[in-house]
Amino acid sequence: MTKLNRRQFSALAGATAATGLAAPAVLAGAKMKLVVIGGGPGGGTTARYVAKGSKDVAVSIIEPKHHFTTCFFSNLYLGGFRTLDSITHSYGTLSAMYGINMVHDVAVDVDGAGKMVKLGRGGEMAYDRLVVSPGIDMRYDTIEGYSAEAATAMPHAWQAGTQTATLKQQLEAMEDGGTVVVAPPPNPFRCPPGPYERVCMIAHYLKANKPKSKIIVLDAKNKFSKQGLFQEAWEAHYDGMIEWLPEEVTGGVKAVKADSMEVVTEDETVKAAVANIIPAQKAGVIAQRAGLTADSGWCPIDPHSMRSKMDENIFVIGDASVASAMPKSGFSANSQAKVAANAILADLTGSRKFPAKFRNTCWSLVATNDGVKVGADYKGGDAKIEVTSKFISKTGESADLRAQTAEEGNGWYAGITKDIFG
Amino acid sequence: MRKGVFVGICGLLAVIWWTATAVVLLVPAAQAEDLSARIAAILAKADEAYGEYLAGQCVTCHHAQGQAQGIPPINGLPDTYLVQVMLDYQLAREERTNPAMVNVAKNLSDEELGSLARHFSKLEP
Repeated sequence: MTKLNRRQFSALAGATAATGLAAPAVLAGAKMKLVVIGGGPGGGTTARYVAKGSKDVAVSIIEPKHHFTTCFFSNLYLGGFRTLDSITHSYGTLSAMYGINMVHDVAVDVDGAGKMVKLGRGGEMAYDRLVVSPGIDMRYDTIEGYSAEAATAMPHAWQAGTQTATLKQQLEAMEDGGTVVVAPPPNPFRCPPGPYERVCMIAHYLKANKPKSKIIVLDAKNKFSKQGLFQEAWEAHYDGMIEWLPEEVTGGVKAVKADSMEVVTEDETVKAAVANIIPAQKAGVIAQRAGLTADSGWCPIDPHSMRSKMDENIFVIGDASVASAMPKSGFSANSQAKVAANAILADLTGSRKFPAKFRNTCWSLVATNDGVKVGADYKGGDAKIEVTSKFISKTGESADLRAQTAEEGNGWYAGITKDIFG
Repeated sequence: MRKGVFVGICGLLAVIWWTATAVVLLVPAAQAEDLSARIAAILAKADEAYGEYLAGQCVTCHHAQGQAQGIPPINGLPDTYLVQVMLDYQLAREERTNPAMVNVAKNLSDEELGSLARHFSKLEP
């Protein structure tokens, strides 16, 4: 960059003040500021792509955790295929290699008019553009008796880390012959095939260690993602162990009693050895504080950029956004992040804005060397993100193909975590 | 007279045989030439900045440093080869039947395919 002399600088500053135009911060030596709330697949990827896309944008991530455990592949930890360490990532490369400023604090409020984020430990951060990628919060109030506290006894394990470790410890502590209740949530929710892959992984653990045990799935829905593939796997690998009950049979979980480990439906109370209660969800609370949510609890976005429909300086990425037809998944968030990063760089540096193209693929491990997948390509449509084409694994595939699909899943995990965390 | 007819028929058959053989032999050569021309036309549309942007959707699975684990590395492969592979995926032929890649390939325009192939060909393997 050419250095300005004092007179040029004063003239520029005067012109800016006189015309009221946004200050060309780059010329004045100050960088444009991107602040990212959330250091998961959406936030981490957006921050990394903006940082590698321009030296003229200062990028910060506000994330309370020092290490991030991915929700994707946390079922494999429950099944004994992964350690918690192997799905836990540091932010070291993002700060050391990409110069991203990691702020380990909680974003508690956003002043959209003043373009400021308020931090939990006091202080504020100014931004030119803001990314809100907080993931999900639980709607505990949809199940009587369920709460953050009750979730220590009956974990949802739908935000990975302590909750996942608690569920694993409970499975290891239960006696052979006990009942594990898994309660999948109503739509829309994070990772549509996730609860059913989890059933496979818990069954895998029980079959090897506590074969007299049962799994009862008390679903809030009547159908689910990759249903034929999962039900095929339940029969083939875990015959007689799993009972799936749709909403039309039980009415779903109405209440829980954490003290007595009871799960209550309309007609029945199930005594559980382990209860994995996954409640209905909404966008992470900061999205609501920032005024980005609709009545649904999720954040409407422009399908060509992931820009919030509520505030043009803010982008919402991942689970918190209304990105249907895309599912809420780590892959979707990572994909959306690259569209958003391109739009943010175009805003801040005038670089080229390309058409919005998205992708999602979801691998599920159903047993050792038995993987299935579903996926689609998407584009920004008139009113929403639209599917351009899709695919799904078939029932009855050969063992070789299933083993190859399972191994692909491992390759994807290595690829996406490299793409998020550097 | 009969002999003449016989020779004539033989001659005709020989010509038919020769023509048929020539067609069988020449068609693959013509197809190969068409394919090379098609690949060249696709690569002529490459826009490297667009390719870099689109590649973001590939490295979610194809490890950015070319690490192979279940999903093959694609960094540093010749652009003509990458285009040919993706054309095979578009038609799900020559064992290129993985539904994830067939799905990706059929959504790419020639410009997008050329841009991606050029981008990945320039990366360190």
